[in-house]
Amino acid sequence: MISLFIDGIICGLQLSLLAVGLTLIFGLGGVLNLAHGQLAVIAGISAAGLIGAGVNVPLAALLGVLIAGASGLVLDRSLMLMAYRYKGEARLLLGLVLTLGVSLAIEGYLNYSFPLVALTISLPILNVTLFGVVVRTTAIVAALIAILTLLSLFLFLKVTSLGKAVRSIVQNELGAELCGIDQASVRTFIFILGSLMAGLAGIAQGLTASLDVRMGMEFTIFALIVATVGGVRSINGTLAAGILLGVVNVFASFYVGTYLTFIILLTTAGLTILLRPRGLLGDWT
Amino acid sequence: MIRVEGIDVSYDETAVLRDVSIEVGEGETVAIIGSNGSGKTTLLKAIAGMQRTTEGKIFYDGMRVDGLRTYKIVRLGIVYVPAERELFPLMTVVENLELGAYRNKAWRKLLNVVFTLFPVLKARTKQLAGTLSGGEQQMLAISRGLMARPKVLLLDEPSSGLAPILVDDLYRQLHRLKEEGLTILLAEQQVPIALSLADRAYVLENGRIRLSGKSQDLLEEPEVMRAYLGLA
Repeated sequence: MISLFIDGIICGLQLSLLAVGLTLIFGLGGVLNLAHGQLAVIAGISAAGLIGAGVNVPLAALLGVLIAGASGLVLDRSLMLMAYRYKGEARLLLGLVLTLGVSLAIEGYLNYSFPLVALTISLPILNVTLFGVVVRTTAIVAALIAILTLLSLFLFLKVTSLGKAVRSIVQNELGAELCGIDQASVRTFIFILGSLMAGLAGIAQGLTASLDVRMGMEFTIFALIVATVGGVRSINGTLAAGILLGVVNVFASFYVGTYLTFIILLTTAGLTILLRPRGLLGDWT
Repeated sequence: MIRVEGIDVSYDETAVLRDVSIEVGEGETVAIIGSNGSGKTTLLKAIAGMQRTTEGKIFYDGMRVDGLRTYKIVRLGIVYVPAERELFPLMTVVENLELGAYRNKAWRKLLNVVFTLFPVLKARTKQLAGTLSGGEQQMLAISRGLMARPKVLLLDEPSSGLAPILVDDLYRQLHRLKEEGLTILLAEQQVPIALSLADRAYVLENGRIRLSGKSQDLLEEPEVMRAYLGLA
């Protein structure tokens, strides 16, 4: 029971890590990036390729994450520019279509070129005992990656001038513009940051289980559910929603079975939205 | 300092401003007066880069600024304070002020300037901007604009939504800013108080400049009196 709960928290941290980038990009750019999960896959598959070529694991993981960040930069500065030319609903819809296309293209390419590549990272020490429960070291490392990243993100948004600019744009785009904030460059920065975090989530997936080229869409769907439950503009809400859904996910898989997990997750999402339509923590960014 | 030369602005084919030319000299306070819908806000937005012009030119210190993005115009020193305030409701008073001085590392030193002007904000530094009263929000909006150390302040209806006593208070502080040499361009529906602050004024009617002159002269103009003060 306790070990299930710990597994749930760890799974939840990974979900938060994956979804928070989606939330940030939506809050700033007004675009729901349906290729978000593919960025996690790009990081994982690149890392797996590099490990296969003899690069050591930490360096390969780092390079994989950077490749995801670079892909985010390219996406923001190329196709997304088309969407950014419009405002509001038109931008959102065009963004959905464009990123869905990108997602399918990436998945198709990876599936065709590297069908058998998968990332599974194992560590020399297999298990440690935590609060009397045996936990896999890989899961702990994955959880630490998520906690440290989310903590740094939180501090960045709370303390730094650029972080405050990010929050100001989420709250009031016009107000930010009137403060002399260049929204386009902050948006590009956040697109890269969100992609880096998706990349880290991909590496974490390789640590806790295994990541293959077909998982991108599933990641995106998970991220969308978490972001929706959290209130798609609230960063803290996304973190809380990730943990909640992670625990639900693990318990559902264990007691009911994987085939019903998605339905249970969606039901949880539906219920939270009914009870708290502005997101788990409301407007609190 | 600011020269607007014959600008036209239209929303969906409807002309909102037609052939409008105004000038604001350094250190001057100029008011744009006119009824609701006369185009005052549109004129300020055009200068602030928030509204495209279809004709004419806008110069700032001899440099053409029409067509520049708003954030670039802000960085040049023209800061617009909209009637809607456009604050960051979920951020504290201090955070709002800090963002006003975005990219200025010495922003803390500027806090005292705005706190002397509006002491009420000093008592509310940690409060979220969205929870302030209307008057306090207006003061915060102007203060946030001042944090950018503007050379020209564009004020849109600073009196809107404020109780008369607060309006007087606000204008007393605007007088102080004027005496300190700040260049102010003000759009205002409350004509008497606007003219009491401004050196000169333009009267806007249906998107055209109808009259212009020294505030004192306009106050004696029967047409202005009739239209805006309800006096014969």
